[in-house]
Amino acid sequence: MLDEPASALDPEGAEDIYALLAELNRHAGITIVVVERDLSRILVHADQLVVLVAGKIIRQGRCEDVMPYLWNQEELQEMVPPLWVIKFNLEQSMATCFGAWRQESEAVEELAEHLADRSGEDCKSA
Amino acid sequence: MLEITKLNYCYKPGLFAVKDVSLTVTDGEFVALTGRNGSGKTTLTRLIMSLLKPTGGEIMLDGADTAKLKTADLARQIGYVFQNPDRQIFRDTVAREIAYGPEQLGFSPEDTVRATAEALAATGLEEMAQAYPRTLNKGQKQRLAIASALAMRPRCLILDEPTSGQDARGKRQLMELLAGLNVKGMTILLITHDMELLLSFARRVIVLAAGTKVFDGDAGEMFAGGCDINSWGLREPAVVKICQGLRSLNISPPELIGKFTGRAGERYA
Repeated sequence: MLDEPASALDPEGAEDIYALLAELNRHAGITIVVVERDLSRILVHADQLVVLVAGKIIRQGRCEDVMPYLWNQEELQEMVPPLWVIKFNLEQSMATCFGAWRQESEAVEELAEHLADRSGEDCKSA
Repeated sequence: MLEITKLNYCYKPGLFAVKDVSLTVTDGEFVALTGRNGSGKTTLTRLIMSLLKPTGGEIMLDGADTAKLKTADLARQIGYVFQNPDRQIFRDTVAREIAYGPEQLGFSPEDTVRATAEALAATGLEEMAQAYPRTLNKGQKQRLAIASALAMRPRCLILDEPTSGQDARGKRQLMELLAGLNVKGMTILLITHDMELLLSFARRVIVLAAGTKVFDGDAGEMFAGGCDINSWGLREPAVVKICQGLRSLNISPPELIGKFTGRAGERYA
């Protein structure tokens, strides 16, 4: 159980800490519970996200299930990590649905596919 | 204007925490100072504040060698906000805490009251003026530390990772406060590891690696691909990674990305 293990670390240090935790989890089978404010750090690792507001659990589940809820609550929206801010906004403006992006490379892959598909229809949509 | 020339600092002989750093900060700039933990950022700012004495080189503030300035004279011009605000808070009300600096600098009682009121207003702490500082939350304590610095009416603020340990809203509010002060002419030197904030707010980024200055320039330029920022312990913000990924596939990123990722996207995409 760790309380904000990466706060005040540089980006590389934060990445290293979470890589270590993932390693312990996957290879040693150790259950990890981590308090984290920066959801972009746990997006790729967490099986489950529990959101506390004023001492109460208000949401619990997989990242991809909790994130839309946060996005739609004005007072919680700022918790949504930048990658998912991009995802939600693009989904809305491109009128499409993307998968559960856990890292930028997945976003690139999906966007590349999507943009290639659409390049032929530009005239139509215009 | 702050001019640093060939600055060196060793905690132990031969072990350089800051090595051969030269840089100039002009009045009114908003500069982010970044680099991995232990790269010399805090040491550099402590040298600027004369909390440490350079092993070599010099620091000039408007043409005067800071080593020869009195600490009080320097504090009047440059406000310093520690990474941990608890370290600088010790009085029993927010207002009295803020008044400490002006009192020490010999402001008249009326002027101290005025400076305190201005600092409370600038940081949005008016309603907390009579609160006991220890009961404030992290973001409010950080504001108090900034208010204490502002009350001495400095021209420049140096902040050591003020956003670490704060949630997204606290971060945004703090950065908006700093951006507002900067618009009014305050020079800001901000130590941060937060690449999203750095891209959103800093017009200029200075990177230290092992005590040496390895980058000094525009934030967008730093992420444009020519710099090996990974080797400096840094990582690109999400918007940069996505745009770079798409460009490497010869796809131009949708213009929308910039619009929807806040200031970071506007400045990069």
